Amino acid sequence: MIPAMFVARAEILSLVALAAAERQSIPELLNQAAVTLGPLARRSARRLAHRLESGMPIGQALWRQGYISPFEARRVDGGVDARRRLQRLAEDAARADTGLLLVRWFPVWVMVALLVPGWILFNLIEWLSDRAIYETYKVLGIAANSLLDTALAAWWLQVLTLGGCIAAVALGMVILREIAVIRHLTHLWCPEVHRAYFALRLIRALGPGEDQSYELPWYRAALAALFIGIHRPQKPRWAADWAAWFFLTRFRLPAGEQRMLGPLHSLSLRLSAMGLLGSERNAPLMAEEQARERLSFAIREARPLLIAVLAVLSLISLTMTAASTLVHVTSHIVGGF
Amino acid sequence: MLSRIFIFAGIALGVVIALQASWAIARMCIHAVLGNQCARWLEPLADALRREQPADLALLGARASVRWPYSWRLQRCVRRLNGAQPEALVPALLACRLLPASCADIARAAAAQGPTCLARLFAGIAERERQRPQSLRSALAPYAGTVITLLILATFIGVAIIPKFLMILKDLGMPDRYHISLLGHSPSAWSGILLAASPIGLGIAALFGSVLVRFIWRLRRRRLLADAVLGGLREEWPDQRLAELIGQARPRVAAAAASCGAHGDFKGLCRLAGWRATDPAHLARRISHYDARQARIRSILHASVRVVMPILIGIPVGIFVYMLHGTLINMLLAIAKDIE
Repeated sequence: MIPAMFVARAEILSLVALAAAERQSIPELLNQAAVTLGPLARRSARRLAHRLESGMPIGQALWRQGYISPFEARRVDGGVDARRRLQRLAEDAARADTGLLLVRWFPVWVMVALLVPGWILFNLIEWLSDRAIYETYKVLGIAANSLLDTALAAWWLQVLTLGGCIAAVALGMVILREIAVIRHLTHLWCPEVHRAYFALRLIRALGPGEDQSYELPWYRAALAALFIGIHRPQKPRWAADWAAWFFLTRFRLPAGEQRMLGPLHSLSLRLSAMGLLGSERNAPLMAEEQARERLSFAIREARPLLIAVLAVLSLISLTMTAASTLVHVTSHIVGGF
Repeated sequence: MLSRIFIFAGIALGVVIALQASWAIARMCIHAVLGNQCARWLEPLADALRREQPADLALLGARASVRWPYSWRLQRCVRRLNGAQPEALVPALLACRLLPASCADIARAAAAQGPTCLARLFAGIAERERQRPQSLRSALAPYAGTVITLLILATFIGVAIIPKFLMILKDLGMPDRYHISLLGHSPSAWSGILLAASPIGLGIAALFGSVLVRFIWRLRRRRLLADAVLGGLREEWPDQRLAELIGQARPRVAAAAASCGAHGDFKGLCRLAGWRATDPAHLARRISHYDARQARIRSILHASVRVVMPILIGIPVGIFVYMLHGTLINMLLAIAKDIE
């Protein structure tokens, strides 16, 4: 079963935004347009229309379908500029920029690039040569190292090992990101992108009740009790993002100004003081658009280097797979280097 | 082995971090103003000029979103604007290297024509920068990343593999036919080579970057002046005012521009601004043709770099691989002969 969030998200969000902008009935437009969509998307559009017809608010219905986050849903349902927000959500979905995923989880991609191409090549050689490497090792009586042992093992053990390694890196990153000070290590490979990302998150956090504290989930409360968590009780939700963004803007502001921002408890005041938020009526939306543009520019700038590194690592993975067995066999024949 | 892969992943991350840090250092050594950064303060500045708001607030607001050392330069510029003897905007921007020196004359000329003209100039520069698909750094970053990764690999091979190959060759009594001993050095020698190469590479990058950025800004001058002239034409400026603008932007032709302005010679004014056009519509057409040609040249340059750079990187890598594999195959043949 494919989750609804992966099915025609951009199309359905565009339809909703269009109907909202044209002040048409959203369920009606969804039902009309459903015939032009694919079978899964059609079902998804009809389910959304049904939810709306039963009186569910639009934000909540989109969240239930898995198209937007609960935070966005609250803002769509509670905000005064719901149409503009829906339009922005549709634009974001249509852009489908995967660059942020690449930057934020770069160490995971590094592991994938190092392990997966070599693993595929190794299995391909084994399959095409009828397990020639395994047989050579057996005939020569070579003790394989741990990774080779895994590569020669059953497929499920191979997948488990590979998946385990990649998941370990991802888990490590999740844990690191929750720990104060150390979390900044996870921004080092692309500080520019992270700065733009946290600025965008801060601007998106603007809204009614933005400065209220919230109840921490158990793991964050536990980390906070140990004084190592990035989230603290009695602090607003944006405080952690502010800390990350402020760290990434270090050495850009004089010390006096940095100290001056401390006593300001309102996010909008802080953002205005930092020059991210103007004084116009629609300042948050304009600031959000600018921040989004800055983020996509930063991602565009960072992507070539990251892709090149991943490509080099994939090549190294392929070469090492082919060469390591050859060197291993040669060194065994010669009697060990 | 798995732990080695984790170490390798760490090295790869380290390479990216080192590259980012090196670029941050190289950027400070680049004297010229980088276009993609300059758009970050010119855009709010243009907006402030249009709304007749203070320029210092726009500059202060841009500090958090620019890279080093531009935030410090912005701070310095604000101090100059608000000092005991406040400076005018354009001289302050030029003094703090927030506007390229090659645009000094045209910026002064636009400022003399009023804040609207200056705002149009700044907005034009920012807009063009925003439309640029890729910066120079971003275009060269993959090659820099590849070269550094390859250097690290070569270091590893030179330190860990080549000495073993040399030992095997000695055991087998074979000559070093492919001269791989040239590649094998002690770890300290390799680290010495890398340590010496890093500042040299950084210096060359900074120098190359400075020269290139300055050259690009010089090329843009003519186009920026055309923008200013077109803006003036849209506002229906008289020929004398256009002549004044061109004269201030290109002081060498100031007298000729004044004469053309006095005689209503639009063709002459265009020629002095660097364009061949008979009327405003013709000028607009020429400018759009010029833009299209520039875009074409840029795409050809990008394509050429994409073709040439891998070849340039591939030649030493190919020689390296040839030496290594040639030796390995020779060793295998010798072993096979021994077994027979």
